[in-house]
Parts: sequence; structure tokens; C-alpha cells
Amino acid sequence: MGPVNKLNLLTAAVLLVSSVAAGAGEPATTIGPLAPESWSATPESAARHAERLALVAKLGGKDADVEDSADALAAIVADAAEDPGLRAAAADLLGRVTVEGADGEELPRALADALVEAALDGDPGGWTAGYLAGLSREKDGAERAALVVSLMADDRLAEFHQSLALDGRQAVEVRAAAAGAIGAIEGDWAYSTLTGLADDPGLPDEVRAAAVTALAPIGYDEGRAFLQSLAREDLSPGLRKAVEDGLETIDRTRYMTPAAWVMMAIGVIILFGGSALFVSIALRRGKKHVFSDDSDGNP
Amino acid sequence: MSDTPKLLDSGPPAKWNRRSAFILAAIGSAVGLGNVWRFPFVCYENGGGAFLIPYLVALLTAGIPLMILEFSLGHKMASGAPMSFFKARKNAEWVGWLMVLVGFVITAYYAVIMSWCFNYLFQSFSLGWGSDPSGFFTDKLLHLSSGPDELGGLNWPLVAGLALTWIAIYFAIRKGAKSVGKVVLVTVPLPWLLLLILAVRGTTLEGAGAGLNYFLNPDWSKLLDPGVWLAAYGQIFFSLSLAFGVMITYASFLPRKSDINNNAIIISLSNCATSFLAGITVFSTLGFLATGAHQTVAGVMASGPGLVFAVYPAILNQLPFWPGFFAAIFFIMLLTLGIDSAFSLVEASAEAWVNKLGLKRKPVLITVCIIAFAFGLLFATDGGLYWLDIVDNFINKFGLILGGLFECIVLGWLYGARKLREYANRDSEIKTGRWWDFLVKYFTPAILVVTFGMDLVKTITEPYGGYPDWALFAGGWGVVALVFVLSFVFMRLRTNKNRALAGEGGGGTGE
Repeated sequence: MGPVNKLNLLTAAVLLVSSVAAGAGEPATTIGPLAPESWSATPESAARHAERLALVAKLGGKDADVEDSADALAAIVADAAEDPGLRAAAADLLGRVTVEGADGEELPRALADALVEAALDGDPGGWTAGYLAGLSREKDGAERAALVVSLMADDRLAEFHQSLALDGRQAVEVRAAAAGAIGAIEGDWAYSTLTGLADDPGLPDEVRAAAVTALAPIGYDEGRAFLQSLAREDLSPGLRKAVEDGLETIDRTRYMTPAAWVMMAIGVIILFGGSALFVSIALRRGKKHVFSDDSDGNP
Repeated sequence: MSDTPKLLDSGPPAKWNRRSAFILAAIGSAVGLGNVWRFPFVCYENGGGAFLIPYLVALLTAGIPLMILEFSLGHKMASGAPMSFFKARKNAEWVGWLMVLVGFVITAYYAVIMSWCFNYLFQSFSLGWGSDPSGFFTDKLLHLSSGPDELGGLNWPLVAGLALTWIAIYFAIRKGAKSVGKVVLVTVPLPWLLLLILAVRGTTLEGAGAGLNYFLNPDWSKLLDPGVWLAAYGQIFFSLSLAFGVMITYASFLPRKSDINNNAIIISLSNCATSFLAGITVFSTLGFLATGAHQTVAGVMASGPGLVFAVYPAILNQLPFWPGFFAAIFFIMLLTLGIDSAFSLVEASAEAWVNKLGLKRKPVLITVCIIAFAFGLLFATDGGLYWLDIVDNFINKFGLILGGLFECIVLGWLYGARKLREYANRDSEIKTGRWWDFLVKYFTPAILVVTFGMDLVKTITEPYGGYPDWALFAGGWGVVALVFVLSFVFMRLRTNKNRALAGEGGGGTGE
């Protein structure tokens, strides 16, 4: 199944679930339950919702021109009052609108811009982080989530940071997933955000543990020192286990493993040793043969 | 004049004055920019340290046997590639032209990459690429346009670097084996030395272990993936300068008594050892960059020009001491690595025409250099990088692979692998057995057919790089088709009627 077909099916499924859930007063998204209070229907919003639903359903068709409706999709994504499931479907579609980067890479800038708008809108329920976390869990999604976030962070790092920190909100699963998404982004900003999350005793342990897991692959020496100091504190068993695993991951990434040393030895022995061996075989015929012409050819 | 054998006009080709000169020249041809910017990435992508196993198997079962095949042909026929194929099989001369033309096209854009290196070298001491090497490369150096349809004007710094490259190439090979033998005394050991210095610098940086871990930590499960094995054969095939006619031409300058088999082994192993050393250098420094930036090594990894012109300068910026010095060393290393690959390809073209027309070497060489320079100007425009990318992809995937395949068919099946094996064994200390015939006749062609088939299907189903169809037809399929058509046209050209006099001489001196 090609990626486009898969996306269409996914969109259709999301829309179906979303419509059913909307009727039952229980919105659904691609990323699991968010804050149920984040969407409630009024007559005006219901009409707008129906109109948007029709648009997204139409654009989910095989040969639909998404580009022409990019503004309408961006408005859906950025609207905190809209059904989270519909926003996710619109965001999936908007991700198909790309611009070419300097190195030829297709960049989903329209989606990134819309997500920044969503983050700036106060983002009740942490929909932005939840959407990115969901995206990062899809096949090859971590890379894509990182790309989107890097585009977002390009312009409005502070706002995005604030949105992902999700201060004072209760959606633990989403916050933990957001920590994972931040880890996929990598870089100094990701590292400092994750250490901030991991070091915050006010946060639920699940979120702190997710932050520890996410920072380990990019922590190196600095991360090791941080986790060692964290390990000296009084931690819950779950968080302590995450810290120990994190330290193990750092040790594994920081230095060459024994297997890597063995492969290096094999490479050196066979390639360099082999070259030396066969050169010595050539030399055995006499230095003159190798370094001067003892043949009867015509120089 | 017409009664004078034209072969005599060009005179007998100069021969290597030392066996070491031939070995160094062949190593110089095989070792190029790809060893630095392709092998480490391919290794990392295909199982890290575990990739060394298919890589070494590919070296033993395809790399060295094909190298022996080309050396045997060139030495036995004592001519450039087209004439060697003509002597092996009268109607197979086009295969030699195909190889030479593929090499010629590659030289045209390879010289432009050398021009980038010259420009970076001039910026080295002041780290002129600033804090945004990627932006410097695409915007300030290349003035990259929006697409292949927007060629823009000539980029004069690139043209100047291109001219400099071609002048260097001309002087390196103006006297054939005689001058090449002297030049490679510098251009082969020097990049090794510089690479070694950079490897020592890289492995002593903080984070080197993390980088080397990415490079060498084995993922054994990858060995069950056929794609990894094909990648290993592809890497070996692309990196040994096979099917360009270069090794055939260089071997034709060998004296009569030459140890073909051991030469092939030394050259192939040295090429792979250089790739391995480059991998250690690249990944140890990538580890340094990743550690400092709180990224995984995969996050900072790039391949191709992006690695050496964007990522590596970013690393050089952060070196704790003498960044300008190490930057200069790095780009001098690239230049010296690349220059002998470039001039070996030109030598193969020039020798082919000297053989074909029986003309003097100097005017032929000047003409080849000027035509290639003119062709290369396309890649020195604002949209040149797009065309370079398209031409490089198609000419390697189709021209080079098909050249190698036809070479195996003509020499293994039509001429006879056994004859060439016996010829190579004649003066070689290490003898090959009938297994070599099997590898040349069945095994390597099968690998090349599978590789070609997969590339063809992929290219048809997924237009390369998202370029518009017209650009892929003009710069991709069009260039490949042109190379094939010209191969047959050149075969049909009025020939040096005395070429048969050269016969299957063995080192050109008669048996």
C-alpha cells in the first residue's frame, strides 16, 4: 500500500471515528484521548464543523488538490475550539502541502505554521504536542515529527516550548509522548527541555521518566552527569528504573562497544594487514622489481 | 604520409618506469572522493561493522576478479579500452567506447567538484564559510537556483577553479605514464598522510567513541537483508574505477613481465583500506559534532557533497585549535584524492583516441581536455548542481553498470575467461583457478543484472529526486542514450588501419 493510499484510509478512518464520536459527545483523534473538554458543539460551531468536515472529507479523496485549500485546512488546525479529530485529519492533509528546501527536501511548512498558530492559541489540552507525539509514533514518523517541529521552532521557539511544556495540565500520556517527540528533535534546545522536564519534581513520574528515556541518546557526558545526580535523589521505582536504563544507554552510545572494537580489528587486520602482506610478496621478488624496471619492456 | 603506418605517428606509448608507479597510479585512480563521502555512509546504513563482511566478500568475489580481468585485457592487448575490446572481439569495440565515454562524462562533472574543493581551500585558513557552511555552499559558492530549468549565468569562481583543475589534469598526464608516474608519487601518499593526520585528530576529539560506535557497532540482522549484500557489491564496483577503461589503459603501459594478479590484489585492498581509514576519520569527527550539539550521530550524518562541504566545515569551525590548518589539510586531501581519479579518466579517453586515429598524443589530449572543460561549464552554472546530480545518478546507475555487464559478457563468454586467466597467471606469483572463470562469467554478471534491474524499476516508478520529467530525459536518459549511440558511432569511424599491427602483444612488445 502506497503512502498516499495509507494516508487516505487513515484520514477516512479518523473522520469516521470523529463523526461517530462527535455524535456521542466523545471526540477522538489519531493520538488517543486528549482533553474531552476541548471541544463542545454550539449551533454556530456545529455548522462550521459540518462544513469543515465536508471539506476534509472531499480533500481526503484520491486526486484532490490539497494545495488550493491549504488556508482553510490551516484554519481548522489552528482552531483550538475545533474537534481534535478533525484538526488531526486536517493536519494530516496539510502535511501534504510542501515547499522545496535548499537541499531539495520537501518541507511541510504550511503544517508547521498552522501548528505554531495552534500552539499560540493557548492550546487547551495540549493538542499540538499530542498531534506531534502521535505523528512520531507512526512508521517513519519520528523523523517527520522532528522535521515539522524544527520548522516550527525555526520561527517561534519560545511559544512552541511553552506549548510542549504543558504546565499544569493533566494529560499525562500526551505529555510523556511529547517528551518522546522532543527527543526525536535532538539538539541543544531538546536536551535542555528534556533535562528541565526530568528534573521537575512537580511533574508526574511518567513524564519525567519519558524525558529521561528521550534525553539518554543525546546526553553523552553531560547527560551522564545529570542522570547520576538525579539518581542520588529519592525517586520512585519507575523513575529510578528509567534513570538506570538511561545511564546504560548513554554508556552504550558514548564509547565503542566490544563488538565495534572487534570489527575495527578485523577491518584493520584484513585491509591494512592484507595490503602489507601482498606488498611484501611483491617485494620478495626483489626490491628492484618493485621500485625499478627490470623487465624487457620499452620505457 | 598515407603509406606511413599511422600507429607510428603517435609513437609507442610510454611505459611505467617502476612497478610501484603503476600500483600508485592505479590506487590513485581507484581512491577518490567516494572513499570519503560514500563508503562511511553506506557502511553505517547497512549494518555498521557487520557490513564489513559482505564488503570483504564482494571484494574477493567481484572486485579483485574484475580488476584482474581488466589488467589482463589491457596488458595482453597493449591498448586503450576500445582497441583492446576490438582486438578481443572485432565487433565489441563499442564496449570499450562505452566505458571511455562514461568515464568522460564523469570527468566533466568530477572536475567541477574539484573546483568546489579549490574554492573551499582558498577559504580554509580564514574559515570563510562562516557559521553557516551549508548556506555558504548553496548560496554563496554555488548560487544555487530554484531548479534545473533556471540555469542562470556562469559562476566565475567555479569556472576559475574548473580551469585550474583542467590545467592540473593536463600537466599531470601530458607525457602519459612517464608524467603520471611522477605525479602519483605525491598525489597518492600525500592524501594518505593527510587522512592519517585527520584520523588522529578525529579520534582524539571528545565524542569520537560515539561516532565510531555508529560506524562499527555491528547489526548482524542486516546480513539477512539481500539489499545489504547488493549495496556491498555496488560499493566495491563503484569504488575501484572498474568499467571506465582506466585500469585497461593503465595496464597497457605495463612492461611485458608483470605480476597482474598480485597488482590487482594490492590495489584493491589499498583502496578498501583507504575507505576504512576515511570511515574512521569521518565518524570520529561526526561523533565530536554530535556530542557538542546534543544530537545522535545519525542526526548529524550526511553523505555525498553535503558531508564534505557542509557538515565537515561545521566540524572544522568547532575544532579546539588550528581549525584553519586542519581545514586546509582536509581540502588539500580531497583535491589530491580527486585529481588522480580525474586524470586517470582523461588518460583513458585520450589513449582511446590516440589508438583509434593514430594521432600524436599532445593535440588529442588538449582536445579532450578542452571538450570536457566546455561540457563541464554546464555544471558551473547556478543550476549546475541539479544537472550534476541527474547526470551522476543516471550515468552511474546505467552507463557504468551496463559497461561492466557487457565487459563480463564479451571477455568472459565471447573471448574466453580461461584465456585471460592463463595469461594473467603466466607471470603472476599468485595463480587463480577455474573459480575465477565462474566469477567472471556467471557470478558478477548476475549481480550486475540484478542491480541494473532494481535500479531500472526504481527509476521508472519513482522519478529520481523529484526532478521534472524533461530534465530527467535530457540529463539522465538522454545522456545515457547518447553515450550508447556515440559508442557505436565511434566504433564505425574511419580507423587507424594499422591498429591490427599491434596485435595481442602482451605489454605491447610482442611475444
